[in-house]
Amino acid sequence: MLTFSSFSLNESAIEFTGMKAFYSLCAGVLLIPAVAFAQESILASDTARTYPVVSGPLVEKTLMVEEQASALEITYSSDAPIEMRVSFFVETPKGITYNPLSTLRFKDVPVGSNQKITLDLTGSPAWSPRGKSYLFHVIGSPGTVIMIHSISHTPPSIGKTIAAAFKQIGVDEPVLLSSVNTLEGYRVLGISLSLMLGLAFIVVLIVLGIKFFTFHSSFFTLLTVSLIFLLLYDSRFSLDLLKTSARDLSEWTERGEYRQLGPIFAIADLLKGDAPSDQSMKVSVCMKLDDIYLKQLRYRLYPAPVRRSSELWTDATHLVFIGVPRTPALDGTIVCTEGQIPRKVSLLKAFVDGTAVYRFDGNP
Amino acid sequence: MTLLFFSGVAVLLTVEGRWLVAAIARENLTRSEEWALGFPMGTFANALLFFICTVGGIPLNALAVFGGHLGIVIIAFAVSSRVATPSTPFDTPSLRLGLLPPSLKLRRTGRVTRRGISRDFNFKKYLLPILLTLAILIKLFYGISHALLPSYSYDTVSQWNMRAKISYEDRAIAFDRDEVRGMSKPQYPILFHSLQIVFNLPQKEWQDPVANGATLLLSLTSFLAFFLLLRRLAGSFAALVTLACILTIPLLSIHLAQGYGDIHVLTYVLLGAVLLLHSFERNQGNQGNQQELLLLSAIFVAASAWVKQEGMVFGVVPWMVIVGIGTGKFEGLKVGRFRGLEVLKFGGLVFLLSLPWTLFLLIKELPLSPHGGGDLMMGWHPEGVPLALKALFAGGSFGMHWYIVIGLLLSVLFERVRRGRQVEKSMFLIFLWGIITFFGALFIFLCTSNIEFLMNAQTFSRTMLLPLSLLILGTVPLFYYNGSHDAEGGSRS
Repeated sequence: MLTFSSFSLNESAIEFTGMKAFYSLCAGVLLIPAVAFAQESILASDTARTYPVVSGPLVEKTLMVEEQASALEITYSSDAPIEMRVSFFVETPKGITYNPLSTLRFKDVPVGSNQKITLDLTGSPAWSPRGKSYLFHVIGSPGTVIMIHSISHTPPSIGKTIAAAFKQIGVDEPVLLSSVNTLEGYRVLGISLSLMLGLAFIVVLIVLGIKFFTFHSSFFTLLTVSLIFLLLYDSRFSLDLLKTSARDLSEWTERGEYRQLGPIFAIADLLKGDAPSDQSMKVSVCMKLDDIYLKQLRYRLYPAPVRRSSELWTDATHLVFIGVPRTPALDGTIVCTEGQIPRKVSLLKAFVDGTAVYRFDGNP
Repeated sequence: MTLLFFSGVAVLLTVEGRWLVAAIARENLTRSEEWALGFPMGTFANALLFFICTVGGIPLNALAVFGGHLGIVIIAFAVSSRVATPSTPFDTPSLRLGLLPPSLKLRRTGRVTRRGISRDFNFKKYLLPILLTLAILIKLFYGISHALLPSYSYDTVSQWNMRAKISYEDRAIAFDRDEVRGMSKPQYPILFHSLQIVFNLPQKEWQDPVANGATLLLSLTSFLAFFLLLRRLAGSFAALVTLACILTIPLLSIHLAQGYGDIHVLTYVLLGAVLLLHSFERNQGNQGNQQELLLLSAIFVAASAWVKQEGMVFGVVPWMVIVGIGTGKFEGLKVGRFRGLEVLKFGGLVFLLSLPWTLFLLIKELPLSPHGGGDLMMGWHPEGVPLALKALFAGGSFGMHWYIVIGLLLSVLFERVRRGRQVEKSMFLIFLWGIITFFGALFIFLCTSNIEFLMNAQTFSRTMLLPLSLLILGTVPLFYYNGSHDAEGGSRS
């Protein structure tokens, strides 16, 4: 049995009725033996490059799991679809934290009572057999009742560790917005690949250096060895560049989308095509996502002013929702935040959940 | 039409730059080198033209800009037409003798068996160049394909392309002090923006791929010129290895695709450095005409200060130190017979070419740094040391590069100790430039409030691209040079 920071007994219930509603219940539920299904995982860094779909408010509860494990077996009951995530702790100069890009996401965990699933942890480059604690997240809609009956674990073995090393070296470098500043790099069993190759290079250099001094081997060999190490790392990175290029080009040519910017280009084109002839276009943006979307719209639509709805509302000619699921009221009016004067709108186009473009009908 | 106008502007800037380079370098460069340097030089001339228009209050419309370029073209052509440019490399500088492929030298000196030669020959002569070329081509493919995709990054759509687009619409460089229109950092110099604007002027409206294509062209031509110049200095293989070592820095690939100003600071500084090497080498060889190449080096280094202020800190100031050391009274490092007055003249020229933007900012009462007064708030921040080490040695931005540069350097030093050889002085000075910028950058991030940008991983790795590239330029050919002496069995002081 695993120990929990918040759960002292082996059965707990989580009811998502709001951020504050969090109950630890001790219910005498009879555990029915069930077959554990291995749940497919997605690395958060893979989903970070796609446009976020926001269907509605979600509530997240987090538990700390302390055990050396290669997999977690969870018995639970849930009355609605939920998502489970596992994050891995890393020690940094700033303290113990976790890299959200290395989090494993287990989506669409089956609904039902006494369900049993296995969460394989070895797919994350942050997993290592030495890891002793994880963050276990459960995410669902408000009102969903989830009972975690038990959590057991599979300890790491040599075979699984070797298999994990091969699996993790295949994890792509996430080429994201932050990549222009810094690259994450590859990690195998929680250790940086640069560091591992670098240390191997130093060892080879020392051996060659000894040979060099004692047997007068070719000095040029050192450069060749250096280039081999350089090409070794570069081959892995080049593979990612090629994969990223293929993916980006195919997304752009097929759907007119590009990484996590999603429909932002289609939105800009739609607005350009709908610019009023009798006045200049002014776009109000209601968003809860990263401000790159606002910056992108500003750049693409300039010289038309594009501002947050808190700065531009009554004079705006168009309204864009980004990551905010909102529909007009029965009288056809809409607001972004409370306190704004409701304005009548006509839907120009709804994109993915939470993203839509409206035209304001007249003045408020 | 878009492609036609794009090509037209590219040809104009290249021809203009080529004639400017020919007029300055006289008979010291080959035709291919002049053509390759043409676009980077034309881009700098364009930035200065935009600056003159901005200061003079002249609107940046097609008439003023292309009229100005026409004037520069006529003058450059008139001056350069008096100069005869050799189509083939002339008497090679002294480094070249030591830089033939070692496998050939081994064969010549007869110190290895035939079987050894064959294996050595195949791997180093064929396989290694093929692999290095392939690595370069993949980076170029990524760069070219992504330059044609929409602008992506934060600063691109708020500082670089955004400011260029606003200035394009205004027909005047924008100096917005707030972000109402969406641009920030009005103090940034204008080389990048003016290049994107001049390429968009003939277009009906602002074209994002044209803007990104223009900056990509600047990167590509700069690296081509760098390769050609280094090839004549150190041989094809050493030039290929050096270029591959620089282009395979993982973070550089991302910047080659769609970057900020950092990659252009880097390429201008590298061009200045390799021209400085040529100048030193010709001077050492007592071949004369070294002044023209020193002048050209000064111009390219000054151009880096027109991309970002970092160009002043990591380009102009270290250049003056290096030229001062190389031509000064330190006999161990002295590489030439420059007179004090000449050094003063070129030093003054670098400042004259790079300072106007700074003076202009002062007159406009704009802060010199985008970080306000924070750059001057000194204080040791030891908490940044582990983060800096992690970024350099255990992150993804640099892969194996820092290990390799340090390993190669130690090898060269051991070699020197073992055989009592002198390291090639001019290469050592470039290495020193790399060291100055490396420790300068470390000082900025660990001893000022810029620690913030190390902690949040925003600019530290980007800034370290320049020192690393300079260290590669100062190490790899140097190593090769030393290594070649194994085969020769001789030493050269």
